[in-house]
Amino acid sequence: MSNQEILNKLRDTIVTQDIKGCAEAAEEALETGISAFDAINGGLSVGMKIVGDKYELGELYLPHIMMSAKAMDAAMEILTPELEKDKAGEKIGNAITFVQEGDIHEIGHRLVSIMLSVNGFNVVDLGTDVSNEIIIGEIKKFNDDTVLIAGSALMTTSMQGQKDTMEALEKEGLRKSVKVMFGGAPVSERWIQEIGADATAKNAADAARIAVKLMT
Amino acid sequence: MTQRMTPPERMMAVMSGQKPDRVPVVPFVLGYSSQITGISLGDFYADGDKCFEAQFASMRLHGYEQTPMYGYASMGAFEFGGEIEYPYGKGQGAPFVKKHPVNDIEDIEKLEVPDFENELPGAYKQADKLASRCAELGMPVSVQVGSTFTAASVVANTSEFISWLIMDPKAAHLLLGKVCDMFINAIDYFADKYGAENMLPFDGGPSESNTMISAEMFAEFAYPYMKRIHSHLKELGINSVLMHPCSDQNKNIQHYVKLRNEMGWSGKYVWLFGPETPIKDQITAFGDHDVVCGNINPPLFLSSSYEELLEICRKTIEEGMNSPSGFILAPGCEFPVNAAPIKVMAMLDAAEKYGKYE
Repeated sequence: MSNQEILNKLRDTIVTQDIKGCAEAAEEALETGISAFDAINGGLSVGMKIVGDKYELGELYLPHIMMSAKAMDAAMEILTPELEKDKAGEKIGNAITFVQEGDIHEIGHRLVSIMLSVNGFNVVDLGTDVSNEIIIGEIKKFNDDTVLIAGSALMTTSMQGQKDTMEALEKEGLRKSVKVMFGGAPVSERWIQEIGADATAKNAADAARIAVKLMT
Repeated sequence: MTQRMTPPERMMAVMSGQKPDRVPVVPFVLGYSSQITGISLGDFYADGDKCFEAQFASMRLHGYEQTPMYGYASMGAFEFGGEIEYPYGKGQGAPFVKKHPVNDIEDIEKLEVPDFENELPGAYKQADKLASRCAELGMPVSVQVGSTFTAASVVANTSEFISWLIMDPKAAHLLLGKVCDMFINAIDYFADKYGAENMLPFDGGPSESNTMISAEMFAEFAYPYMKRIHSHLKELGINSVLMHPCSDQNKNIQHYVKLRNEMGWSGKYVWLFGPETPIKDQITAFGDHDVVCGNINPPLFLSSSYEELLEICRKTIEEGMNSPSGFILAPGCEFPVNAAPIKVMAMLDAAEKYGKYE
């Protein structure tokens, strides 16, 4: 099997949510001499992008994405140890993802984290119910390098915390080095303008596209 | 000159297929009432009496047509032995699950369906307190009887449950069956205690929305349990049900339409779809039999001024008020907890100004 055929197999097992097949294809890739980085970039990420596009078009739904993510996780378990040995390729940038304080709705946030990752971001996933203190602390670790933050809130109550995040960024003098995206069901363009953030998106695939634009 | 109706008369009129004096307003107020009455949001959900008192005060203060109810989107986990946390903290808007009773497929087998014979399970204790206060005052008893799919998605770890729809549909059905059994037990308890004729149960949830699952998955995993619950409601003689297909459920409408036909339902549904569903589509699907609600996007109550909301309400009223079997002005989901009282006033002012039937 050629290298391209193996990469296609990685891609297709993601698209068809074949967890076992995806792990096998990852092993096959390493055995054939394909680097972990190339396997991710040329196979897994391509597959996840297709899944994201199909979700956007209403051809696939959340259970399919969750299964594709499981397939990706299975392959990543095999590829991650090898990544250390590879020269990591150029990343678009760093992204910090989180769900706002008081909110534990994780599914949309997970999808955004996955889509940012497969679109070339180095993602720091802070999880759910994250306070502004933690977000600010994480941003500071990047020493004034431009970083993207992508926060989500599913409730109007937790959405209010996004305004507090913006105020905290200003107060700490970090606003210029941070690109800010917020999303979630109640978040609108009007809200983004009102609080002075940079962008929102209608779904995870859209979020990744906008994030790439903001950071390039 | 037509006499002005009281809020109960207005609701009675719309529910019985008569024209009220104006479009009724049901602002889907829950947590908001705690904020304007000085009760903490956590206490509002942790204590059914406080939940009643806050909603009753808000109802009297504003003069809208909604009566108190108890429920929240993640109901189910606590009742099956999981842990929830009440919303005392920053950013929290409703009770949320701390520990799911089901984390893997083996847990489903062991799961016991809560019975209502002795101590009521989980939050149904609080729902019962509120129900008894409503019943004392002659108001309808609104108790949560679904959706089975959304409740199952919080009884189990949500991501796992969603994966089982593909990986292990039998396990998903086993869980859904048990959750459905719990709702049937709840219906029996409340109908027996308060009388079927006094019940106005509500059913709905976000997990079956088309942002999560397809219409085909809805048909396989949500519809059969919804039909079972509604068939039971019909058998008991419960004639009115509040339906809240939350978020975007446009592709599921065909199944909701089918429900009436397959059951031979002759009662009244009140449809409160998410803001993604155009009012005209609701009228086409349900207008001949049911009350439809026009369904303002809730964040607009935070971001829009009183004047802007008046205009939004005007357009909504004009789209819906001539629906053949009645129309109610409402948000498309819960009214924002932190919105200003003047935003509720905008709904009522719009109904008075643009929603008169004379």
